[in-house]
Parts: sequence; structure tokens; C-alpha cells
Amino acid sequence: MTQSDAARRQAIEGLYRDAGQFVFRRCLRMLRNNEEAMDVTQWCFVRAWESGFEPRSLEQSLAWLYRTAGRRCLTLLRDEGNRRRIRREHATELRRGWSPSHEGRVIERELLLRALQNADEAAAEVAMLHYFQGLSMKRVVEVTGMSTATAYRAKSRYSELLRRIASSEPPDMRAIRS
Amino acid sequence: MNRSKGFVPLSSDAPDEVDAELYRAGAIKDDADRRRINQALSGPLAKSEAELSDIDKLWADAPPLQLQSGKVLRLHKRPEYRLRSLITLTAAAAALAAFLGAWMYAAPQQQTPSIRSMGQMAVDLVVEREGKNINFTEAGFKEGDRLSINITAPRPGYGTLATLQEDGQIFILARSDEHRPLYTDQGLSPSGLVELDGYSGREWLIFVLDPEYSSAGDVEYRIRSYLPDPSTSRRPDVWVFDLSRR
Repeated sequence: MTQSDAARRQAIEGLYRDAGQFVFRRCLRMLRNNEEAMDVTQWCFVRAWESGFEPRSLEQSLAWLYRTAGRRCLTLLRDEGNRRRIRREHATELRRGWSPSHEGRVIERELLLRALQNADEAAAEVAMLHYFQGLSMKRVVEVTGMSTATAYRAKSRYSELLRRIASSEPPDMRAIRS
Repeated sequence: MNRSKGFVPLSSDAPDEVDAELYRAGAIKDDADRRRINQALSGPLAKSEAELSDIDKLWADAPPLQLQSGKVLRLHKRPEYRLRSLITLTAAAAALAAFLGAWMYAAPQQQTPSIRSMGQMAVDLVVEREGKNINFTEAGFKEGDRLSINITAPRPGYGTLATLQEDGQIFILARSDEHRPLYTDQGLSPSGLVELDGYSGREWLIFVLDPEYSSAGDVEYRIRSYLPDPSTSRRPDVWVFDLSRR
């Protein structure tokens, strides 16, 4: 291990202590699963180490980490096995306490996930950061490095896809509950 | 390459969650900005702060970060062999034939074991000490030994090759890519030779073959769970080899 490796390692470990919880917040919002969010958070920092990422400032590091976390969560959410698990978890919640507002939230998330499955990469990335991570569009632009116009066009494509899915294929709540 | 330059704190609009995070991490230096964010935390950001503080409570159980370290096991580049001409190739073939001939007639104690079997899996392990290959089954392992390791997967899956010390330290030597699982008979090896340090406790070489991809953290957690003695593990997807020094 060279001197610079040792310094970079220390910097990434320090970053984990300072900013790990912020990355975890985003991951949990996206995945809604504590263990997976912990895993992805750890994975992001291991990835930073393995990929040669050099933390220069918290602003630069957080943006990199949020983007990396977003892409990782996107991969997880697009996986059919994970989607089935999310549906199963919804089913448990639904059996516990049924309410129309709850159904609304479940349908909303199901639609968001289905659109994510079919969106192009740019639209999916923007949607992931904006709708799932809860970042403002200004922050999405900063994280992705896209121009403002490109980011908004990607968001529009995702919204259009969402509208099409919502109008043509309303999600079957019986399927979600079963 | 990441085109992003990073977050810009408080560019023009009202403070948002990211500003609050930068503020909490001490990255906002300007006093006026700090006051604005502080006010927003009890105003427009109060609702999201309440939600996020619930999430933060879960973070209290976060495990420490486990980064792969080069402290104990050093990877050395494999020497590059280039066959520059047919003559070189012929010479190499002749040398190999001579070596094989000598090897076949050699006494058993002079043999250098290289291929072992762990269950149904082939492990190609060559140990070099002071520039010579040694019979590690007799000579054991010592500090400074250099290991060339190749594991052949007996079935498709995601492979992880690691060492585990009895104090719980894990070093991932090689892992199959998330998008490229191993196929049957495909090899997995570290990117170079592995040099053993002077660790005095017990240490094992462990290969885990998962049917589904798991994160590095997940695999490390599982490997650590095989302690105190992974060699007693009878799990069909885990192979263990004792690397303890003598």
C-alpha cells in the first residue's frame, strides 16, 4: 500500500463516518429496507475505494456517493426478484391495516417502479434521484452533471411513461395483496 | 468519468436537505449561510428533518466500514511471459517436457504439489519460497511465502476468494463481477501473487460460491460467521484451506 493509498483510505473511512448516514438516508428512501440500505451504503464506500475515487470535498464526495447509490438502487429495484419482495412487503403492510390512503401510496410506488423498469437510462437515473431519493431537480443536475435542459427532458420522458402506464394498465391491487 | 463537480451549497434558493446535510457535516463555512440553514431547520425543513431523524436512528446500528486492505497480504504482479519467437516457444516446450520427465521419475518427497482437490473443486495452489516452489503440505506456510492461487468453479455462480484470520480480519482476493458470474470449470484467481505476512494466529483461504450475487459486505459477514474454525464447516458452497504459518 503506497502513501497515497493510505491517505485515500483514511479519507474514505473518514467520509464514511461523516457522511455515511446521509447516504443511508437516500438508500432507505429508495429501497425501504433497512438491511439493504445498510448494504448499499457500505457498497458505495467500498466502491469508492476500489474505483480510485479521491474525496476532495464533502460537496464533491456527497454528489458522487448519491449518484453511485442511486445507480446501485436502480439495479436492485429493476431486479424482478426484488420487485417481488417489495410487493410481498406491501402485502404484509396491507393486511395489517388497510386504508385508502395506504392503497394510494402503494399504487403510487408500484407505478413508479414499473415506470423505472421501462425508462431509458437517463430518465431512470433522474427519476431515481428525484422521486425516490427526494432530491430537488437542482440537486439532480449537480449530481448527474447533466445540463438543466437534459435533466428536465429526462424527467419529462419518465413522467410521460408514468402517465401512459397509469392510464393503460392500472395496477391490480388484488395481485399486490395476494 | 464523473462529469459532476459536486453539490453547490445555497446557490440562490432556499436551503434544502442537502444544504442541511452539508451544514451538519461542517461543510458550510459562511456565517450568514449557517444562520439561513439553521432557521430553515426549524421552518420549511422541519418536516423532512423529522423524517430523516427517524432514519438516522437506524444508522446507529451501522457496521464499521470494511475496506480491503493491503496491510497483511500484498499482491505482486505476475511475471509477464512473452514468447517472442518460435525458437523461444520450442525451447519452452522442450524445457517443459524435460521438467515433466524429471517430475514423473522424481521421488515423492521432491514433488511440489500444485493441484489439490477440496470436495469437487480443483484448487491450483503453487507456493514459492525464496524463489523456489515448495511442497507446502510438508513444509507448511511461512511469512514471505508467495502464493499463486486459482480456483476452478465446480458449478455456475458468483465466486469470492478471501482469506480469513481468526481475529476476524478478512481480505477479499478476488470476486466475480456482478454481471459476469462464473461458469462451470471457469477459474477465479487474484490479480497477482499473494505474499503471506507474519500473522501468528490461524488463517484460512476461503472460497464461497453463491448462486445469486451478494454485496461484498454481505459475503464478508457470512465468511466471518464461519469462525471460530471455518475448516469444520460442511456447507456445500464453501471451501476452506488452512494457511496458518508454522
